[in-house]
Amino acid sequence: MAQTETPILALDVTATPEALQQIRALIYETSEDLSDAARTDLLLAVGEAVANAVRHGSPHGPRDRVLIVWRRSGSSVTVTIYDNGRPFQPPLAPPPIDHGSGRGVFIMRRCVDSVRFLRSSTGNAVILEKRV
Amino acid sequence: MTQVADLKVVTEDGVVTLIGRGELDVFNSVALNEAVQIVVEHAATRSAVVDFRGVSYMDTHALWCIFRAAKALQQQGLVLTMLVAPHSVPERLIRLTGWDAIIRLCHSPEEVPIGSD
Repeated sequence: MAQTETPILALDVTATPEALQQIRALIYETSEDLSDAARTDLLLAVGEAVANAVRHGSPHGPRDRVLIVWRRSGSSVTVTIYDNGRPFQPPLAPPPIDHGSGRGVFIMRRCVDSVRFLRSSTGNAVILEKRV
Repeated sequence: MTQVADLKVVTEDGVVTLIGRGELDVFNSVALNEAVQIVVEHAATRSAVVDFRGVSYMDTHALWCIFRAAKALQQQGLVLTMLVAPHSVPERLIRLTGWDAIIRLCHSPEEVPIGSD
């Protein structure tokens, strides 16, 4: 019988700017077998989600934690980002072209196949899924 | 302390160039903002270039700094040219936002127009 493997990696970091680089490095390393285009898009989507988690989802600053769970299953990669933030309503439409904020969620939606926002026991969870 | 972006502004023959390396995100966009201000102030009537071929990552906050500079230059009748590596994160991000309509993307210095637009 064929055996299938589902590699899972988790990274639990303090909600600091340094964490952003740590997480991006993790995504970059774990997606080295993907095409350049898929790797770039995954990096962009996760980068925006994690920046939001640190900036908006960590009301206690470095005392808060951000948890990243990366899972590879068959032809898809799923990355879930957990934070300690309050409930929020993700924007449904991209902002006007000359508007400075609110573009992160739009980028996530353009770069991966599915973006879901859920409430977790500790805050918010963003689930990004990309077929590769 | 997050890594400070490696940024420098070079002016040569009336062309002002911002050269960036590393990763640019919301937490070091203050430095980027300062750098692009210098580009806008020194652009005069010649070319303004942002060389991000050495930038491996940038987020929407960093891009917003570049967009504002491009808009300011546009009001002076100039087009901001951005040098990017092919298929890089900066190139992808700019194309996704549609801001390549006001930021001219180039892959090599030879493609950069010389003089005013």
